[in-house]
Amino acid sequence: MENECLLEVKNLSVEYTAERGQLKAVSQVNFNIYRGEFFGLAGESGCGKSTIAFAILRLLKGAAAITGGEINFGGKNVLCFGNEELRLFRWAKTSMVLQSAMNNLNPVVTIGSQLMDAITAHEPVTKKAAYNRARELLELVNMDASRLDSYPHELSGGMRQRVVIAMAMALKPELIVFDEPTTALDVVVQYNIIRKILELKETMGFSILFITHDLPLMLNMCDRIGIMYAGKMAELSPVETLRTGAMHPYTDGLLHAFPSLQGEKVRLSGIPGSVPDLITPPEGCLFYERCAWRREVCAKEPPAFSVVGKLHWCACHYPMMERGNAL
Amino acid sequence: MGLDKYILKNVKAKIGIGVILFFVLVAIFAPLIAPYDPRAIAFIPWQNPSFKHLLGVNSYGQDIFSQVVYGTRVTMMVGIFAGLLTSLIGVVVGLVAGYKGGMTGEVLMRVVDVLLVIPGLALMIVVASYLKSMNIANTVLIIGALSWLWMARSIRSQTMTESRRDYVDAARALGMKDIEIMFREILPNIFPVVTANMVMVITQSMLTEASMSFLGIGDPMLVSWGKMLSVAFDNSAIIYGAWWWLVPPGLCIAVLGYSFMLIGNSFLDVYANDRGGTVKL
Amino acid sequence: MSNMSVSYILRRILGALFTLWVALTINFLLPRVMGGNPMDYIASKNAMGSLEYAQILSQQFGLDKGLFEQYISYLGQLLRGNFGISYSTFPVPVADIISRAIPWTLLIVISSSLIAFAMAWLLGIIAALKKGSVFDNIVVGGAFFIQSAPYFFIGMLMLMFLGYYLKWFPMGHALPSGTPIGSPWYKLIGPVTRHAFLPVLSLIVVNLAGRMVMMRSNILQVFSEDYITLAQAKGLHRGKILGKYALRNALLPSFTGLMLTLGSAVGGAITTEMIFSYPGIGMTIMNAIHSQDYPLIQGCFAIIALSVVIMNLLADLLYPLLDPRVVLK
Repeated sequence: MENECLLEVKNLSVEYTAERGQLKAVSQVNFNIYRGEFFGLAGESGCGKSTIAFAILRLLKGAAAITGGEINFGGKNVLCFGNEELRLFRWAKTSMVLQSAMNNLNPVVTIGSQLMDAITAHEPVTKKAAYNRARELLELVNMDASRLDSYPHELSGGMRQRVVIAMAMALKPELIVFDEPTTALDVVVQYNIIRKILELKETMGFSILFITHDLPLMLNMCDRIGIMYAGKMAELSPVETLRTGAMHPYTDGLLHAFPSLQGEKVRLSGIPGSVPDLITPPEGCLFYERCAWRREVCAKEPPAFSVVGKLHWCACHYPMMERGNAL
Repeated sequence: MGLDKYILKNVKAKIGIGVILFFVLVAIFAPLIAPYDPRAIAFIPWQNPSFKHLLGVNSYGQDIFSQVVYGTRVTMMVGIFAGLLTSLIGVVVGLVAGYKGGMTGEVLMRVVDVLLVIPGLALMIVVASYLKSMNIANTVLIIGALSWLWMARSIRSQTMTESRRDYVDAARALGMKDIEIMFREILPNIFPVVTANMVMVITQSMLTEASMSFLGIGDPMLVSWGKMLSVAFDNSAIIYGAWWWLVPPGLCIAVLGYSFMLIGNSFLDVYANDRGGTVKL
Repeated sequence: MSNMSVSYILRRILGALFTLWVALTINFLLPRVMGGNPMDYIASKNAMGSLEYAQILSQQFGLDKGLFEQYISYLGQLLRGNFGISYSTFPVPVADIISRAIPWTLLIVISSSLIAFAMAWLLGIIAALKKGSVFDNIVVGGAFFIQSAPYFFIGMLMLMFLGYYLKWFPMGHALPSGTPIGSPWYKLIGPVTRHAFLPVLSLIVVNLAGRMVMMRSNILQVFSEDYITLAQAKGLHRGKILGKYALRNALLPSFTGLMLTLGSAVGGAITTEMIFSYPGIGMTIMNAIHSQDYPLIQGCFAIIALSVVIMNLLADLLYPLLDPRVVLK
């Protein structure tokens, strides 16, 4: 992984203003994404992964605010961009594919027109040229050019998702953020879409930040995975290491919580308890209440996110390697 | 129903309720507050406001302040009762049309649409001129019977949305009868919308009563704020520059109506917040 | 036009005709249900209450025939454009009276609706963009307060302050009394505008309030939609996001509202015309009711019903052209 570092997220913190107080949705998160890398961000609902995705493009709205850290793209801090710089950065350098494409497409404008908008906002091309490029984009995702004149409600869920993916590639960005792109789709469609994404990544060379709660899926696709819990990053490692040498008790719990289609039937174990209150978080490790291996120090001091192996970080006072557990 | 959210913490609703309570008290204690009999033609007409007559005297020689005080009773009663009647019909029709859907729903909405074509006010005028005598009860009935259309539409669309939610399917699976589902499951859930509609309908009823008085229908013996405005107009109060006759009753209607709307709107806001966004009425 | 089929259009037209027929039937029945005998009334005005006179009139107007016969001839006459003859201003045909009154009503209602709509747009958008600001709160609070006040109260206030105290505008009627009949139209523009100003202003104020609030909440709802977020993510210019993505979606619901308002234009200004003594359909209806002038009442109602049905039909047919999502079965 000697490639150039595209995205550097440094000590990122995001808070939501709620009635009771400030909700710490993301706390001091650190990770990098390299050129050509398939990076996955996993965790249960509410762990802050989508928040990070929106933060990268500075799309957080309403009660959310970035309260600390840097997001460095190509060496420049996105959080310091002015309006025009931000506008040019968006979509050209980094684009997004969101969940539930139906809500993300303007219902009263044709697909073609929306594709063309993405292009003409950044490049001075003629309408005809933009139209042709839109057509090519649709071809990339195996969609017929006639669809350019369709409206979103006229397409199936899978087709809409493909349109949104095509749109994300319109300006050949260096990084594409996928936020739960297949969660709302059935398994077969999901398979096709993922395959298409991988194909396109090979041909066009973009990096991917893939966000999902479906860990087994990621284990099959990603190069590296970051596991989030309660707004903090619990573990970050290459995929092979994670499979056999996961160190954080939470990761361990996650891996055991998903049933496998093949192999023997194994008794599933869940993780007892629930996520702590992020408005008044407890001192010490946020996973303390649910951890089967907790010790005294875990309740008093939050663990540091530190190196535990090659490109492997973990935030735990007693990572599993030390406990001598083999998976 | 979230008493806390809807009332105790709701500033707008509290203000609204406060104002309404004030007027209710005025209505109840009218005989104690009003210095004179509102209908007594006992004074020199066209007097400006003074200490003896806080709001002056009208063209007949009646004390305006007393009229305003007693008018509170009529206006509020008509508004509230007509509003309730309207709401009753509107809710029932809306629930049935929204829940049953299909043919029943279509037919009901067709009827509503056809009735909406007829200009409401004109219809009321015609119907009222047919009735031999007008009194409060008739007024309430007329307003109620002809105003429920918009509310039915609104409740129907809310009911349609609610009917698609899972708890309705669950209730059906449990074997609950349709009527039970409509009134015991769906209605409590859309209650804030019903209330919001209701308060607006109350305001509307007060305004309708005022319009009816203005146009010459309605009980001639009644002293309501609308009637005061109508009499003022007919007696050229404008040309006499008698703002003290015109402004108080109109202002009272506006303030009272506004406080109802405050309540209704704040309920809608809380309801919408619970559902993550805005809700279309 | 891919979502509109011939069968949809036909069904809408049939529906409109049906509604119209129901309205006309109610129209027919109402005055008769009202009780009282207009013939006696006319006779008492013109012929000292002579019974014979009343009877002859009854025959002439066909009122001595059975109800059903009257109904059929009523429908037949309508189809031929014959609205009958007014009882109270006998022998002036109802159609004449209506055609003299309609232009005035249309003038004030259509101009006020269009201006109110445009202003509601503007104010609604600005209020939505500045949500939570002082401007927003004042505008919204003010709008609700106006909606709570009786319309004629506002009209009367305007009449008193702008007409009586400040003397800026005339106190009533559509033209100054003494305007020679048959004056060339260009000479009438000034006086007509001055006389129409207050009625139109009062209508604008009242219409504006409700519509603006609706517009504002439509826009706010659209702003919270995901496709706006994505549009921002795509790096589109603010103007484009506002126009093509936000407003286009926010305006659709109010289009129907505008059409409906225009539809009830003809019947919607009764109170206005009473306050300002404006000689439109509203005043005509009021006078007709007071003098039990059946044909005139029926004629006015028929025209009102017709205009509402037509505008509803137009709204139904035009809306699918604007909103591609509408799926017509």
